[in-house]
Amino acid sequence: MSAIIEKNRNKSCHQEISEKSGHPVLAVVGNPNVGKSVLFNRLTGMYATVSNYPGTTVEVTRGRLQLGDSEIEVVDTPGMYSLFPITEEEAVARRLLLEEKPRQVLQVVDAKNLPRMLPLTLQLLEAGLPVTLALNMMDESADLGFSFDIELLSELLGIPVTGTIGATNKGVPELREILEERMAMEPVADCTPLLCAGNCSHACSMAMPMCHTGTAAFKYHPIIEQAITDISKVIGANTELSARAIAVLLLFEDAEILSLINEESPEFGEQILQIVAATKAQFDQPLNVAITMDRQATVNQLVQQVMQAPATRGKAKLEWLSRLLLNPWSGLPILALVLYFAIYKFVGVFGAGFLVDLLQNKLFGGWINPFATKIIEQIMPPLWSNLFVGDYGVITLGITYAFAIILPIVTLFFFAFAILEDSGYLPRLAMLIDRLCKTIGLNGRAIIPLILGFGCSTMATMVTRVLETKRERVIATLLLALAIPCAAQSGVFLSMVSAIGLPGLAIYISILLMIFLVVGLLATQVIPGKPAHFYMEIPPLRLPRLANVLAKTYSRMEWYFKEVLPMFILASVLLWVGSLAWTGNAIVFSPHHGLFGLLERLLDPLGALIGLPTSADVALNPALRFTGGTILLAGFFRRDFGAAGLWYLFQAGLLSPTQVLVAAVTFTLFLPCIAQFMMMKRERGLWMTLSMTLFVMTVAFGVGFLLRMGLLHFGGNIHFLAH
Amino acid sequence: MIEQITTYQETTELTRLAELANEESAVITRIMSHDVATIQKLMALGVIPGMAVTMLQRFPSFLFQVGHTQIAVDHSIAATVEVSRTKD
Repeated sequence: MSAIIEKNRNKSCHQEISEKSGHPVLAVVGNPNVGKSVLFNRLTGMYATVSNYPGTTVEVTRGRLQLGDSEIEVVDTPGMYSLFPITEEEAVARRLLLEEKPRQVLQVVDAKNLPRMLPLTLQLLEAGLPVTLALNMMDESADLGFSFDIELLSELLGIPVTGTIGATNKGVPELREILEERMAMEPVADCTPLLCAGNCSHACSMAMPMCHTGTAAFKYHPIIEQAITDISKVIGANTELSARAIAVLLLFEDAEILSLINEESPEFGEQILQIVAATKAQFDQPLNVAITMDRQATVNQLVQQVMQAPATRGKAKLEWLSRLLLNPWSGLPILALVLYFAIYKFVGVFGAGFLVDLLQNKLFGGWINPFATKIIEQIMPPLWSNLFVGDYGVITLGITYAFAIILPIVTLFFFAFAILEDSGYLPRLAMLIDRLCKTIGLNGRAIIPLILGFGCSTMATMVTRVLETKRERVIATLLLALAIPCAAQSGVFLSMVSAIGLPGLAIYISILLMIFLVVGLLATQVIPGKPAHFYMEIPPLRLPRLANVLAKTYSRMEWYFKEVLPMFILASVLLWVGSLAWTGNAIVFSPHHGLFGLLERLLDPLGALIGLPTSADVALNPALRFTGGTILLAGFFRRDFGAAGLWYLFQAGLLSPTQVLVAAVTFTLFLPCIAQFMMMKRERGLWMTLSMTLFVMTVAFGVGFLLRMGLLHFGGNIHFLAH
Repeated sequence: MIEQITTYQETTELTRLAELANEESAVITRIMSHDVATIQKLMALGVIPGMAVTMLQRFPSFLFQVGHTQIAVDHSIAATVEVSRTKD
């Protein structure tokens, strides 16, 4: 913390070296949507580590870069719009800039939006940070007809500036050369003609003759300049950021900085508050607006000199498509097509149908499992062989389900999602459905976690962080836990439900939709808080690059498998342990007689409520293998694991259509898997998670029971076949 | 100073962003919000007094352009941005 106002900073070289890695640090900063991460990947290659910033939920990516002889640690900071943080991401980005003491800051900007990007550059320079500027996405600005005088911009800012196209690697080698040179230099603040107050060092004024002329100096309104001078006098000169930058942040009433000053001296804090109050009184608009306007005016002058606009205003390449997507009359039918092809056809039919059949029945069922069973049964007694193969075996159950059922479905979903994400479709969808989201207490932004929830609800629960108010995060978490089936579930359930005919599918989807809306509407009434506002940048549509889509898919799969595979194996092992029974003189493997059998019998009433086989049914018909209780228990480890149990019963023809439909609805609504439970606890706290869990279970079984009663009452194929 | 403002008002009319018609342009004059975070976020997206704005779409949400950035907002936000449009 004290890094911000750290006194008596010693500018020796080793201070700019990362404490963790011992390598000098390059910090990459920039607004969201400027291609920062792509450029970061270009510089560091594929090997990056992602970790949470201590005490926050914000992720920070780090990588290594070899420049000449030295290895550099590159930190990809979260997207930031300005040094004055609004979001947790921005606060983390600012802390990283202060704590990592980067020897160089690489600011990545979207070239065509230069007027909106340069204010941050001014702030970084004002703070005394050594900056290199990459004008990225030069291809998009060229399409619009813009050209840049990069040399002049570099001269005016007093820092290296270069053009890049992260997507194609153009300009990246040149950027590396600049960085190599800059990283080798002593880290001193750049001499920026714009910020020069006429008191530059000798070396600086030699390098920048125009510095002393004072003509280009960037000044705020005289009243604000006076306030900056006054505040600077109070805080002194030896601060980590320049006193000027700190003073400006204090005029923004930056709570973090003010509390640091108060820690040091409440008296200073009091003096500063007085200066701020006196300054505020002289403006009829908030000080942050006045300061931002001054900064923007300087940037606009700068941009006029270095950026040439085309005579006729160009349009972005895919603007026509963008407008089609944003217009509800065309956008909603397109959404239906996207869902049909990307989700139903690609993930459902191709993934859950074709690939699962190939892997589960042909690869595992036809080859791996018989082979493993043969070997293991030869070398082990039945007690132990059942741990690995057989009904609950680690190989034949855990690994088979993880790789043959879950892997293909979830991979295809993440692949489709990455394409939607990289193309810029999601923000357009957010705008299209914002009004609908408002009725359930959310705003359009919630589309991102909600859609991701169709892939993995656990991951989506983490992503609810993109929502700004606590109320929205709570509602979204609840809806994810309740009414949104993850890819593994929907893959299995949709196939099962489709197999019993179109009416079944219609009932399944309409019940989920109804629960989603009703619970959302109720939550809006019950959960306190202000309604959400919606604002979102709509970035240009971009053709996704396969390499990026694959990299994203891969990193999500990696995350997913770290979560999922241990759970599957653990579930298999626990099922095995629970199936061990004591016969009086020996331990034997005997499903339904051990601890698990006991739990199954305890859960029988719950299973019977929704018409699933009970222990008694299984005793009569051993082919059933799983009771409702087994599926419930398995389902708690992973919802998809429970789904897989139902899938087995269904494929073996052991469930009636009514049972299939009721079970599919109940298990879709049912309690999230243990991984999601842990994630909910991490994000929402224990008490809220427990109460949500109780609510979800009540709704799931209540709805399942009512549906079963309804179906039994109104006919249909209702007979439980075991009888 | 006062005289200047009067002349300014004769040729222009102050209204809200939410009132602009499709394809209509105006200049942002003020963000009428008391919420520092909202003001700061809008300014970060380029919604700064003095910048030109063009309305692109009004339904189901508002879509407008400032510089080369397209921004989607709901009515509550669009109604807090004061703009000045040239009178016909």
